[in-house]
Amino acid sequence: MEIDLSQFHQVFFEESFEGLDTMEQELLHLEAGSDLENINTIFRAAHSIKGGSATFSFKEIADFTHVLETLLDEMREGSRPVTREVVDLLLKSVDCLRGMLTRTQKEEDMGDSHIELINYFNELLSGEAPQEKDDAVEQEVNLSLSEPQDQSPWTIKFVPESYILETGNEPLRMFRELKAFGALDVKANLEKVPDFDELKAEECYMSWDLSLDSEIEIEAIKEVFEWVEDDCVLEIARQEKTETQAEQNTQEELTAEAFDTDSEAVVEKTKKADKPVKSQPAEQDKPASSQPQQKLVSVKKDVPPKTEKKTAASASIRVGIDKVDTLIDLVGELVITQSMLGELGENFDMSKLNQLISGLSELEQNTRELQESVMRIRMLPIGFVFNRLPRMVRDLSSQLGKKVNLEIKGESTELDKTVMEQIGDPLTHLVRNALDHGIESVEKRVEQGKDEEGTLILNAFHQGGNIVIEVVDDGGGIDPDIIYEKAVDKGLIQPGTDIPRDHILSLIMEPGFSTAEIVSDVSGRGVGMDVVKRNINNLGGSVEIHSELGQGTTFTIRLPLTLAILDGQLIKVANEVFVLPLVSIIESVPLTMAEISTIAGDMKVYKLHDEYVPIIDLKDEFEIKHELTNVSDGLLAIVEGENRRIALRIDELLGQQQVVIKSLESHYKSIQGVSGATILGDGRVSLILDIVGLAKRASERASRKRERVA
Amino acid sequence: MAKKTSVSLGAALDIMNASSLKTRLETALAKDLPVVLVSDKIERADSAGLQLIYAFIKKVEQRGHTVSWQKPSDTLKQSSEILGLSKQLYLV
Repeated sequence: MEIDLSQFHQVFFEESFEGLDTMEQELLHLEAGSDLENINTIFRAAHSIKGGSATFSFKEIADFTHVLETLLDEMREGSRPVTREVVDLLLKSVDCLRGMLTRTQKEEDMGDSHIELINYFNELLSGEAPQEKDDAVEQEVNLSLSEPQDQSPWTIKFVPESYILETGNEPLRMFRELKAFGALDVKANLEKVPDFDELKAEECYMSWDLSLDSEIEIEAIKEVFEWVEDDCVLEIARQEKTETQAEQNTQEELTAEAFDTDSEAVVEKTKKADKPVKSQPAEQDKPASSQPQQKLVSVKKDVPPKTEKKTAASASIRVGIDKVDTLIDLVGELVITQSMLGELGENFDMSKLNQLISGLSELEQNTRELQESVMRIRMLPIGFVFNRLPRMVRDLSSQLGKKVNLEIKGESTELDKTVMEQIGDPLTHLVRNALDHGIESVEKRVEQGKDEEGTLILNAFHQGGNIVIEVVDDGGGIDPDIIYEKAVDKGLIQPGTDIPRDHILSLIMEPGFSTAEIVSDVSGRGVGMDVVKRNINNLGGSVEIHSELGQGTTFTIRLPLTLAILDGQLIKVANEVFVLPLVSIIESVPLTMAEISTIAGDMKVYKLHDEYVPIIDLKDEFEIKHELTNVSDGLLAIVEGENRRIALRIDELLGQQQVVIKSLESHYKSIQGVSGATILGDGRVSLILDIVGLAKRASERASRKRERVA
Repeated sequence: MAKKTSVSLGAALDIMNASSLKTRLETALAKDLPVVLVSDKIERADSAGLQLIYAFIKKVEQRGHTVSWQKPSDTLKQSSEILGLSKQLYLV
């Protein structure tokens, strides 16, 4: 009997990706101190991937892991020392394997991007590894990221600075990488090569014109030259075949700002149109200082395969057996209760009323527990997200020349899988920002009397119905005065506006604030912060910033535990029932006791302690037909969202209950002020109110009204 | 048979060995004879090494002599080709 192995592919991929994550973590531990058990764990993970891929006839992966295994075997036996270079190489292999697995999973062509890495391994194993191949390997790994396009050949003009060879950057290696993309035609320009007597052997006098016939994207080519970006003149363009292409081919300067924009893709994932690129060399005498800028960009390379992986793997979830057992127990109890109630119903008389009541409350209890357990299935420890950060912190801190100690706390805190998948990128961005702009260089820290090693803490814990994630650094902090000035410059606030300190800091997350110029001026915290905030808000969460100048900065992210169920307060407005998220309610007051004032025409505000809160009458807002009622009837529910408070005028507070959120957008359409819908116990559909949207909607309506009056 | 001088390029025609190789090439140049580059052992060649050989060939030719290769290794040929130097180095 023949077995269809493809049914096991998904499990193989999931296990392999997990194995790669384990390998990555262990490799990072390995660097801290060589331990045989670490090597054994890495070896076992590689061995499993090799075995599985061979079983499923994924030959390239099996071959690759075989070579990897040989190297690991030497390390295990102690015949090959564990050096940083070897660890680097193994980490790159993990990236490469991840890419290979993703492509196999998507049934895409494997390409030959891994071949150079295998060759390198073979050379290393035979004891003939050339030094700079290490870089080649890194570039090679990234060949996988390209998407095919039907275009004319690329023309690349590459004029390196004379010192380029001395920095270990070898054009031969770069061209070899380009060759892997497709047919490469190389023309060397040798006019500038001096007479033999005057030639300095280490200097480069040559330049090249290359033609690359490949469907690869420009980013992939740029990555090949990434390490020499500031040490050469580089022009990349598609050969102009059609008018349309000619129009697209406008020259663009690839400056540091452009890099910053690129790195923002970590969060925003916007895809830039292909454009020719012209890169000018930086001042010749400072290649070293330009390194961090270049290397910073290299970090983003890790992201696409991971994102792909996430998408591909989202089809299933691995659940601990204990959770499944709990579910089975609960279902068992539910069945018992149901049969007990059924029996009761068949011969019911009033003497059994108490039995019925207790049976029903048991049913309610069982249902609640079942619901919670089912939700727990979707809960995963946040460690899944945190675990990808040590690698980034390691790479980035060494590239930036900073010493950083990463502390991870609360990694077993659980949150919904959907929330977790979406928090990964914003979190990565915050950590990257903290490293890049928050924590100071070793010299600066020593100068300020701080420990030369900066500390970055990632912490997660549950608080109320939320999960709180903190990113804490002990860096330079953010100066609110500078932020204030910049916000005034940018027209985000009026000069002289009195804003509380923490609110000033939150201005850095306003869209208009995020420009590269500000990043360099205020030492960071600008790029992509608006995107971080938007992503978190989309998840129903919030971000707060607290910073002490010279002491450090704390970003606090609050997220709902799940996106599927909400603790809701049911409210009645005329004959309609709405749901308010319970966490958003601050208080409710009877209208008779409320201090209400009227400002700016007919705008009503409620005085809550020392602040005035605008009142929104939900009947007017949603145009609900109703009989005229006494103005003092009803209640005001004071609610808060994104630090904005509003008072909702409602008729009655009904019960509180957990509601299952159904998307209104997928069933009907998106409505501002409504985040979703739910089905109530009596079968009626009730809308779940979105406080932020409601506030915006009301203020837009008020301004329209004012315009009409004017 | 016309007199020639041979220079063995060793295993690595690269930036690490470029300076020392230049000194040896200068010695060969001083002999004012056609040059044979012994290159069967080359396992590694890079831009600096090949650029040096290009300048050397030009210099020898300026003096009215020729440079020839003896058993150029595959690595040498491949590296020259990737750098677009095969023609100029007579390695086609």
